[in-house]
Formats: sequence, structure tokens, C-alpha cells
Amino acid sequence: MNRQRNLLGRLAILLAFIALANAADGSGDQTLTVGEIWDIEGLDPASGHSVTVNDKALIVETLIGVDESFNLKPLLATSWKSIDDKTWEVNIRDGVKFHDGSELTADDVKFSIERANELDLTVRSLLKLDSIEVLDPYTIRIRTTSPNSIMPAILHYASIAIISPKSIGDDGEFGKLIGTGPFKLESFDPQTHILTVTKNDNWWGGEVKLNRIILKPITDPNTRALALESGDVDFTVDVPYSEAERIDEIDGVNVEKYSTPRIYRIEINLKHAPLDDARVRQAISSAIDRDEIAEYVLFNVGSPATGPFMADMFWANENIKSYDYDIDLARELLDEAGWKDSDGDGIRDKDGKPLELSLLTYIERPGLQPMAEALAGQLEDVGIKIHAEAVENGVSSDRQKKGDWDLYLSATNTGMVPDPLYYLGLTYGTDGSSNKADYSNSRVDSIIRQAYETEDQEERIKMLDELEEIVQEDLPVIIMANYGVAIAKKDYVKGYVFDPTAHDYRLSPDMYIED
Amino acid sequence: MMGYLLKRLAFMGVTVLAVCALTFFLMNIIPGGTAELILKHTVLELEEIPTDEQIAEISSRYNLHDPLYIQFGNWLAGALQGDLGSSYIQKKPVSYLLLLRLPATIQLAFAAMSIAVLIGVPLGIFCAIRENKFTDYILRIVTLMGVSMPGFWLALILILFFSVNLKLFPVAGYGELRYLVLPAVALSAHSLALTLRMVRTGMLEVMSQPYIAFAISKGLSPRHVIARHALKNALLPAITVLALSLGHMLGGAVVIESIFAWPGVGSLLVDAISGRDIPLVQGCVLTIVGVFVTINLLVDLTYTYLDPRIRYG
Amino acid sequence: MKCISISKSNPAIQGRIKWTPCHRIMANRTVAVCLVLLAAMVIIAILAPWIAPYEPNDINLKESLQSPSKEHWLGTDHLGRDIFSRLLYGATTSFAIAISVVAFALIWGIALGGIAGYFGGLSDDIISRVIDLFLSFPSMIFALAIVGALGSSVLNLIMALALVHWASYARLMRGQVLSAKSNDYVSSARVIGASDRRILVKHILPNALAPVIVLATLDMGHVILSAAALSFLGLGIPPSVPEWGSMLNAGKEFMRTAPYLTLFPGMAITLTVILFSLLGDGFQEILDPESEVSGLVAA
Repeated sequence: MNRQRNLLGRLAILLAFIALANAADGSGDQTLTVGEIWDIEGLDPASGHSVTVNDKALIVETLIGVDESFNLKPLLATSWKSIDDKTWEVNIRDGVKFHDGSELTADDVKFSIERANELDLTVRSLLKLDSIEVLDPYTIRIRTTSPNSIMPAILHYASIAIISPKSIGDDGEFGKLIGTGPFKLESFDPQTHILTVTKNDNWWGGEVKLNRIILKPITDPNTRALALESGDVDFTVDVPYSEAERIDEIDGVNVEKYSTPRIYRIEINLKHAPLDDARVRQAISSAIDRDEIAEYVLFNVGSPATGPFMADMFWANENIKSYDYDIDLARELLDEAGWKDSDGDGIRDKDGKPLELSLLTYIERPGLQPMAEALAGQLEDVGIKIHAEAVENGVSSDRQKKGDWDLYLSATNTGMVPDPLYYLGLTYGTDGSSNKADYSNSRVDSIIRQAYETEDQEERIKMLDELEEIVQEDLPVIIMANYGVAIAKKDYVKGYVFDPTAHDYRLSPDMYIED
Repeated sequence: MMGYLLKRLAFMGVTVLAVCALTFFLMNIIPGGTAELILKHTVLELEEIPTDEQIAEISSRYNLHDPLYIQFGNWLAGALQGDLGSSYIQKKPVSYLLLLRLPATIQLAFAAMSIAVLIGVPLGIFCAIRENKFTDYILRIVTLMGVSMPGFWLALILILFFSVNLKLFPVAGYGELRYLVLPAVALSAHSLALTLRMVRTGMLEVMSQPYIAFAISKGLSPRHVIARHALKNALLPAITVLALSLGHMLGGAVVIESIFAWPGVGSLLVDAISGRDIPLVQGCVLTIVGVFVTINLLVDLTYTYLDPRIRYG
Repeated sequence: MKCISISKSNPAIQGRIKWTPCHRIMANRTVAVCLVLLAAMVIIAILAPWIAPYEPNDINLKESLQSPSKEHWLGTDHLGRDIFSRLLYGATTSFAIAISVVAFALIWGIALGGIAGYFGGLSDDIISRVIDLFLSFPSMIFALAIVGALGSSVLNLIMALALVHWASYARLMRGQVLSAKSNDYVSSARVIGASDRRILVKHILPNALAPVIVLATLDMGHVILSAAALSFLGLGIPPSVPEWGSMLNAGKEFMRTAPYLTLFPGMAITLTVILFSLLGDGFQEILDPESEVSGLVAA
């Protein structure tokens, strides 16, 4: 009896110890622990890690930033102007110090841009860089190989973040990242991939309130939610959409839902009949109840969309019309196109062939698979039979390349470069590399060509508005909804303002922990 | 014995080579171009389409257009000298990336196996002795749940109960011992169930042998008979199955690893395959094969210990 | 001294240790009950189109995530589909996959493992190497290769899974045969001049098979879960096709808000595994050798 009691007592003490050791350390010191959604494999902005070190860890910054309406704003660059159609002059802010104390000068900027151009192939195709000339320690001239009216917008691209040349070791290998941002690198654990940054007291942008940010990669969304609930993290993103409500209701936690520049869209393979008939495409778009999908599939993490650009974006065409949910119109259009249900099986047919289409999507983004299934259900209501498939991205893009698809559902970011021309050109131009539907419209092509050569932003936007109207009528791509993000944090985390221009989410130097 | 060992070591080399060659070949023919996926996992998004220039650049950087036998030959030459190449996506040496992940994987596998053995074997014997009695049934049904539950289910339940509610362990991550407990328990469920059943079956098989009845009829105590005669032979299927489980834990614990943010080789391999990061895939597979064939050799040697009548050749 | 239960079919002890009626009934009835229940499940699965109250793909977003109720006995999933109906329709697919894969793996595993264990020498060397290869090869690559080369279908899915599973059975069988081969009655049978085939079938197989059967029954659930995992790679089961493994995967994110999405398919899988497993255990009794004992006891 005594032995048992002793044992139980010891067990209780052991458990208490373990519990204490794990006591959630929320407020108190100004340390923010973040449950990050992607694995962190490195810290070199020019090698694919730009979003982590730019938006989330806030170690580095770009020359040009954007405000909440996606207007360009000065960051490390104070002003910029075009000298001729292939030359831009950029003025660099003075008084900015790198984390190691050295001054930011034009040579550092030239180094960073050239390095990014060398290592990052996307930068290379965006920038069309010819050369960079340093005029004085705070002025550079960037020459492009062909007219590039959106060059300043490209300088916002995270891979072209400005780093100190001392970040590179003598052996040419990337060493310790030295940037200009509000936080500086403290440690990166190569095993656990936990990234720790500390306050930069000499930040040019003002006072930084947090002492430290710890980024812990947790790739499973259920685990992220549990980590927040248990207090292992103070801030996280993208808990499972269906959990957003439940977690919001927990004491001490709050969840905010926002839309992002990423859109859910369906690309249509115009080479496969009957999708070459615009009426069929318009009918498909009219048969989709976007509100229902946003509410029941996305749980309102994300919102129905008409055009490719979020309302926040200053160039968004507010007057854009689209084939919104109108089931009668859908049926009418299909009837008009000759597709009628002649054998009463619920599926329309024409000349003996049923109206069956394949809908391909990939699994790597959470909302896509249920959305594909929901779409199948909605389209069946108007008599179109859909075979939905969700596969690995390598498999799906391979099939798309081979032409083995009818409809392709994806979640595409339209704000990578804060200018509408980039996305529209890629998607709707005949040679656009993202134009997998093989859409070709000569009017659209000429608008794109002209726009690349038009300096004046207002004029450019007006041209592109016309382009948007044409493609919304032709509908080679059906826009469904904006991809949403659920920001979940403890109530004691203050000062966070959602940045719609961020890639996944952006932390802010204004954040602090309330005691 | 020495001859046998040498023969087996030679065979190990052959097997490893064959597996690596097959892996290399298959990785190059599965859908999704290597260059394209490398780009999508580094500088492009999943939704962007690489331009022809970008693909050409990557292809030439990594000699992706060379004939397959030349590419494999180069890799093999390097591997024989200890150089497993560099990851296309992470741009770091493959051996470095593997060495970072191996300790975590070994710790987890070892912990899970220990749980499976320390609980599975005694309970298996217990069940065999109490064949068809109530406790036998109950334990069998409980273990059946262990094998038919998906990995994520048990993992999430454990986290919910022990981390969130009781705050005894952290939710996820890697570090001190307390991070190991929940993932090890979750990972051990399948092997525990399997071990218990195998021990039980093995025991029942052996106990029905005539020499057991003979020994008991001669007056030897049943406990003595079980411990000295039955157990050794009964353990044979259990050891085989445990070894198989161990092998799977090394490369296949992906679900547990991703739920618990455990930096193991399984998720490294799956990510590498998704990115068509061929050198990294090769390195992981090489390691996993090497471990598997070594384990199987050890098991075969253990057979001769457990059942001295077994001979090879 | 406590009575230890030893397998009742051992005639040497049958008279000596009392088989309580409890033991006997349990042992025999189990097999019968399991067979009946399994047959019932198969029949229900086949009759699904007539029994199920709803269509399996009757998507109705507005009725999603409803708890079990009179209209939907087991509730609705995240797209408003009736879970009970999907469970019924999914039974056929899940059974088909589980049984085909395990049967295939058993046949190949027993054959190759048996040959390797019994004949030893070169055949053991070669077969064991093949086993090692299939054991250690990552299944994801196999699956992707099959999708790429042969396309996506349930048949290809079964093939991919069988390729991955047979090696474990072979390995286990080989160990068992090695052990059984050196038994006394095998050597005495050889002395008498029995052919290899007779030895294999009459003496070795019955002893060696039991753990392999147990493994097979336990593997059923694992196969269903693996099938769902491979579907993610584009192999076999499109998301709309009802199948227990896919239902489990789809329900993962709803475990806190709607646990019945995972609970019911999980229970279905567990029930199947329980039935097959108890059946397999019952087989162990049936396979127990009785004839070999007589020689020894007489002596």
C-alpha cells in the first residue's frame, strides 16, 4: 500500500514537472513565436527564399514597396524616373545602415540586383537587365534590353531584396544574411529549420517594438491550429478553413479572414470541342454559384471574384462585368449551342455525344480539391457531366502540357508584380507563357504590345481595362474567387495590420506583445 | 559463417546498386519534367509556367539532357568516392542534408520500436497463454484498431489530449526528449499491434508442437517450458515483422513527421520526389536501401541464433 | 498451478488438460460468426445501389457537415453528401482493393518466400535480393511511374499496391519455412522418401502459414489507407468516387468540427479488419497438424 502511494506521488510530481516545463510562455518578454506554413530551407533571397526573409522574418527589404492599394511607394529607393524607354534612374535613400553597421550605398544595390539577376531565372526574364551604372553613392541607372515600362514594379519583387555583399563568404558561398530590415538574423537551426531574428535598433524606418521573432515551420494545418490553442505559437496562418470559426471563439484567440491577390480560376482548353464555343464557356461560368462555394467550400476564407484583380488594387476594373451565377442563362446558352438532353439521363448531348468534361486540379493548395468536386456538382445541375481529378502538381502540369485536359482549376497569384500588365500579358497574350488554353485574339495582342511601350500609367490601365472586357466576354479563363488567408493569433499580439500585397502574409515592425 | 557473411556483403552491394539504378531510371520517366519542377520549387510558384529559356538554363546547369546512363554513371562514380552530389533545389550537399535528418529519424524509429517490443512481446505472450479467453479477445481487438487507424488520426488525438488539454508535451517540433514522446507513441501503434499478434501466433504455433506437450508431460514447469523452448521459436516471425517495420519507419514515417514537424528522412524523401530533386532522392534511397539490407542480414543471422537448426546454403 | 491453455488439437494433451466448454465454443463459433458477418457485408456492398438512401455523389453544399440525424443517419460530409450512402457504395471499392491486393501479395509472397526458404542456395540468393529491392523501394516512385506509363485506374492502383506489399509476405514466409524445414518430422519424411512437393504441402505449409495469414489480415486496413494515400498522386481513385480510405483523408481537416467524417469510415475499416483477423486466427486452428504427432507419441 505504502509503496503504491509513494509511486503515485512520485508520478504526480514528475507530471507536474513536465507540465511546468511546457508552460506556454505567451506574454512577458517581447518574443513572438510564429507557426510558419512552409518549410524554411535557406535564407538567400536570390535562391528562392525571398518570401521568408523579406515578408516574414523582415531581415531584408526591396528598393520599392507597395501600399495597400498596390501603388508603388519608396522604400530603400526614394525616387525613380525613366530617362529614356530603356533606362531608369533610381535614387537611393541615404543614412540606411546594414545590420553590421556599414552604410547602404549604390554599389551594394548594384551588387544585389546583379546577383539576383544571375541566380534567379524569373528575375532575369522580368527585368530584362542590360547593365547597371553607378552614378554616385546614391544613384544608379538601370538599362534594360527592351522597353520595360513596368521596371519599377519589378524592383518590388522579393528576390531583388538588397543584401550586403558581406553576406557572401570568401569562398563565394552564401554565408550569414546581412540586410537592412527591422530585424536581424540571430540564428537558423539547420536541423529544425527554426529561424530566429532579433530587433534591429538602427532601423531607418523607425522604432521596432518586438525583441525577437521565432519562426517555426509547421506544415500541417491541423497541427498549426493545435499549436496555437496550446500556446506553443502566438501567431499562425491558415488553420484549416473549417476550423476558423471554432478557433475564433476560443478565449484569448482571434481569427481574421482576408482575401489575397491569388485567385481561384478555371482555365479552359480551347482546343477541345465543345469548349471552342464561347457560349459553352459562358454557360459554364453562369452555372457556377460562387457565393455558395465561398461559403461552404472555403468557409468564407476567400471571397467570390469577378475579375482577376482584387478590389484593393488601384488598377482593378470596377466596372467589369462577368458571367455571374445565372442558372437560367446557363441553360439558355447551352440550348442555343445545341446541347440538349435528348435521352433524359440528365446529361446534355449533341449528335449522340454527351457533354462530358474533365476537370483537373492539383492537391498542393487546400481549397482546390473540394472546390473541384463542388464545381462538378454545380455543373451537373445544368446537365454537364464533370470528371474531377486532383493529382500531384507534377502530374497535373505534365498532363496540361500534353493537352490532356479540358478544364484546369488553379490558384494563381495575380499580384506578383504590382502591375496588371504582367499577369494579363502572360495569361491572354498569344505568346504568353501562362496561356495554356491557347487563346489568341489579335486585338488583345496589340493592346499588350502597346501597353509595354506606354509610359503613362493611367493610359496603360485604360488600355488594359479594354483588354479585360474582351477576355471576360471570350472567357478563356473563368475567375471564381479570391484565395483567402486566415490569420490566427492570440489576443495579446497587437499591432498587426494585414498587408494584401504580401505573398502569404507579412509581419510588421509595429507588432508588439501586450502584457 | 565467414564465407556466408562475405557473400551477403557482396549481395548487399548488388542490391543497393540495382535499387539506385532503378530509382534513377524511374525518376526520369515519371510525369513532370525535372527542370520544370526544380523551377517550381525554387524561383517559381506552382502555378507559373517556366519559359523555355529557364528550362534550358536549368537543363544545362545540371546536364539533364545527357543520356541517362551517363548521368547515372557520373552519379555512381561520385557516390563510390563518397560524394553524393548536391540537391538541385536546396543547393547543399546531399550527404549534409541526410546527416542532418538521420539522427531525428533514428531516434524516432528507435523509440517507436522500443515501445512496440517492450509492450508487444509481453502482451503477446500473455495473449497466447490466455488463448481465446476474454482478455485475449479484448487485447486483440484493441490492437486491430491500432493497425486500421490512419496515422494522422492517432497523432492528432494524442496531441489534442496530451498537448493541448493536459499540457504535458509540446505539440510539434524537435529538440529535447519531450518532443519525442508523442510522435514515438503515434508511430509505434502499427508495429505494436503487429508485434503482439506475431508473438501470440508464434507462441500458439510452438505450443502446439509435440515436444512442448512432451516436456510438460515429463513434469517440467510450464513457465520453464515457455521461456526456454517456446519463446525463442515464437519470436522468429515477430523479429521478421519488427525488422520490416523498422525499415518502413526509416523512410515511410512521412505522415507522423509532417504532423509533428519532425525533421526526418521520410519527409525529406517525399519532398525530394515531389520536386524531382534527383540527387537528393538517390541519396535518401541509397541510405534506406543500405539500412534495409543490413537489417535483413542481421535478422537472418538472428534466425540461426533463435533456431539453431536453421542453416543457410 | 494454473492451467495453461495449449492448442486443443494437440492429441497428446487433449485428454490431460481440461478444455472448458468456454474455450471450445469460442474457438469454433468465431470462425462461423466472422464468415457470416463478412458475407453479410459483401452482400450489403453489392446491394448498395438498392439499399442506399441517397446517391453517393449527390452534392448539396447547403447541407454540408450535418450531424447524424433522421434524414442522414451518419450525417453529411463537407460537400453535403450522405455519409451512410457513401459508406455503402464505398464498401465495394474498398473490399475489392483490399482483397485483390492482399490476395495477390499472399500468392506471390508465399510462393517466392516458400521457394527461397525451402530450396535455399541460389534460389534463396536471387529471390532474397528481389525481395530486398521491392522492400526498400519508395512506393511513391512506383505509383508515379505506373500513373505515367499506364494511366490512372483502380486496376493500376491495385497493381501498384500489390507490387509494394508482396515483399513483406515473402520475407516472413521465407523465415517461417526456414524454421519449419528443419523440423524433425520433415527430416523423417525425407528419410522415408517423400517428394519435395509432398513435404512442402503436408508438413511445411501448415506450420509456416499461420503468421503469414495473420499478417495478411492485419494488412487489409493498411492497404485501404495506402490506396487513399496513393490517390493523391493521381493514381486510381478520383475524389468523387466513394471509398473508405479517401473518405478518411477528406475528413482529416474536420476532425474537431465534424468527427463523424472520419469516425464512420474508420469504424468500417476497423470492423473489416477485425472480421478478417478473427477469421485468420480461426484458420490457425484449422491448419494445426494432427497426423504428424502420432508417430512421436506412439514412441
